[in-house]
Amino acid sequence: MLQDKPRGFNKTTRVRKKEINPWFMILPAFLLLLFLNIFPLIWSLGISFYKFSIIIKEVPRYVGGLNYINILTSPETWDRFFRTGIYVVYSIVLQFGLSLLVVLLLFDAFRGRRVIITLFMIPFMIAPVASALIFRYLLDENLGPVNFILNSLIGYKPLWFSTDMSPLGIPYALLTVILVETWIWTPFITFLLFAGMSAIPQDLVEQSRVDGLKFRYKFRYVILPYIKPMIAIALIFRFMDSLKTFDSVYILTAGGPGSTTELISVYIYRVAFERWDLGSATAISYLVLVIVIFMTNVFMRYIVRVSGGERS
Amino acid sequence: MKGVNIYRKTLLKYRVKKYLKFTLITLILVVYLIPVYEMFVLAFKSRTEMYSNYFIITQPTLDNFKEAYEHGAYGAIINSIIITAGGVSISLILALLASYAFSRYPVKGKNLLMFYILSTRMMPPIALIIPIYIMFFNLGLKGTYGGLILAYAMMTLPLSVWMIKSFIDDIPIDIDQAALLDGHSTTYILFKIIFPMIAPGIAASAAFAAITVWNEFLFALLLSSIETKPTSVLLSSIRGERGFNWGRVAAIEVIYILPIIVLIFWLQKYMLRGLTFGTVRK
Repeated sequence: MLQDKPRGFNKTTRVRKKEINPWFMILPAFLLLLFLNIFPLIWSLGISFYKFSIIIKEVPRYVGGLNYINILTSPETWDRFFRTGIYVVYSIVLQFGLSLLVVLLLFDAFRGRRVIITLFMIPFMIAPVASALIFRYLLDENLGPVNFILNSLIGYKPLWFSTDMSPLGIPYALLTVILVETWIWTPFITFLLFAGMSAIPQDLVEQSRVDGLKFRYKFRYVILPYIKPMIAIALIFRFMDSLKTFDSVYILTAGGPGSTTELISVYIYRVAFERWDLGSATAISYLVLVIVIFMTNVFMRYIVRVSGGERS
Repeated sequence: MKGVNIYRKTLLKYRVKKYLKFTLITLILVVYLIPVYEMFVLAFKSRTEMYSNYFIITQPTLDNFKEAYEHGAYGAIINSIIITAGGVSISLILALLASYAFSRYPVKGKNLLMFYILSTRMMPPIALIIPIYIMFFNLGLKGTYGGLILAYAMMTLPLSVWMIKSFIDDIPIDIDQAALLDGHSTTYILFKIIFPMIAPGIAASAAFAAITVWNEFLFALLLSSIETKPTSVLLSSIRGERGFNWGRVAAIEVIYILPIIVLIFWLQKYMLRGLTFGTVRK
C-alpha cells in the first residue's frame, strides 16, 4: 500500500516547474465542498437560532436557543424520533434476515450465481421514486393485484395505507413503508454478504463438505468469519441511510395518514417546506447530524478494527 | 462395493439439495422482481385492461408512451440527462485531480480531509438542503440547471474521490516517478499515463455517480423549477393528480429505469467498490 510508507515524491526527485503542487489539485474539489457543504452546514447552525416567517423575503428574527428548547420539549419531535427508531429496527432486521437467507442459498457454487445476484441488484439500483410509485399500484387497496391475490387466497384485504394495526404490531402504513424500503435495500446487503462469502477459499468449502460438517458449525466456523466485516459495513451504511429515508416515504404516504409514517427526514421536510419554519427545521437537522456523527464515529472505529484484523 | 454405494448416495443427496436450492433461489428472485416486471407490463397495457389480467398483456399498445410524450415526459428526461451529465462531469474532473494528489502525495491533513469527504456521504441530505435552498434562493440559482448541477457535483464528489483514488492506488507509483524523471509534467502523467490505465475504473465511477444523480429526488424536488424538473420530480407530481393513468406512469418509469438496468450488467465487476466507496476491493 502506498499509504504505509511516506514514499510519495520527495524534494530530491521533484522536478521544478513540471510538477504541480498537490494542493492545487485538491483545491477545486475543496472549494466545491466548502461552498456547498462546509459553509452551508456552519451557516445552518446560524439559521437554527432564527425564526423565519412564511414569506421568505422577510428578514428572520433572532430568537436565541428558543428553537432548540421548543424542539426538545415538544412531544412531536420525540414521537418522530421514536417512529424512526421503530422503522430502523424493523427494516434492518427484515433486510438482514432476508439477505442471509438468500446468501446461504447461494452458498454452494453453481453456475449462474453471478447472474442471479446481478438481477437481484435491480431493485436497489433503480430510483426509489419509481419503486415507490409502482408499489402504490401494486398495493392499491381496492384495485391492486396484491389485494386481489390476498382476497382470493385468504379472503382478507389489508388496508396498506391506513392506520389499522398490522399483525406485526405497527400500523399498516408504517409496515408498507418498511416493506418497500426492505425491497429496495435487501439487495445491497445481500450483495455485500455475497462478496464476503465469495472470499471463502474453495478448498475450505470442499473440506467442510467432505467432513460432513453440520450446518450450524459450517455457518459458525466457515461462513461467519468471512462475512463478519461485510455485516459491519452493511450495518453502518444501513443505519445511516435509514435515518435519511425520504424518497420512498414521500411518494408512498407523504408522512400520512396523519403522522403515522412521518420519519425524521419527512418531518424535517414538512417543518421546513410546508410550515416554512426553517429555523426549527435546521435545529432538528442539527440534532440528527449530531446523532449521525456520533454513530459514524462509533461504527467507524469498530469497522477499522474488524477490517484491519481481516487484512493482516 | 458398499463404500461406493454410500459415496453415490451422498453425491445424489448433495445434487438433489443443490437443485432444490437453485429452484428456491430462482423462485425468490422471480417473486422479488415482480414489481419491476409489473412496470413493464403496465407500460404496454391499454387503459381498459389496467385493472384486470394483472400480470399479462393481451393487446400490447404504445398508447402510454404517446400519452407520456404529450404530457411532457420527454422534456423531463432531457432535463435528467442534462443535470446528470453536468453534475457527473464536474465531479469527475475535480475528483480525478484531487484523488491523484491524495494518492501520490503526502499532503498535510490528507486523512482528515479524506475522512471529511467520506462523512459527507453519511450526512442526511435533508440537513444540507435547507441552507442550500436559502443560499440558492438568494443567489438566484434556485430553479436553474447550474444550481442543480453544482449541487449534484458536490453530492457525488465523495463517491468519485474515494473510488478513483482506489483505482489510482492500484497502480504502482514507480510509473509516475519514472515518467517524472523522463521530464514529463504532472498533467502529462495524470492525463496521458494514469488516465488511460484507469479508464475503465473512471467509467465505472462515472456510472455510479450518474446513477446517484439520475435517481436523486429530494434536491431535485426543492431546487428545480417547472422548466428544469427532472424525471423523478415529474413522477412524484403525477402522484398528486386525480384519476391519472397508471399506464402513463409506468411508461415514464420504463424509460427512466431501463438505462440503469442495462448499466447494472456492465457494472457487475465494479459493484463492490462502488457500494463501499472503494474501501473494499477484490
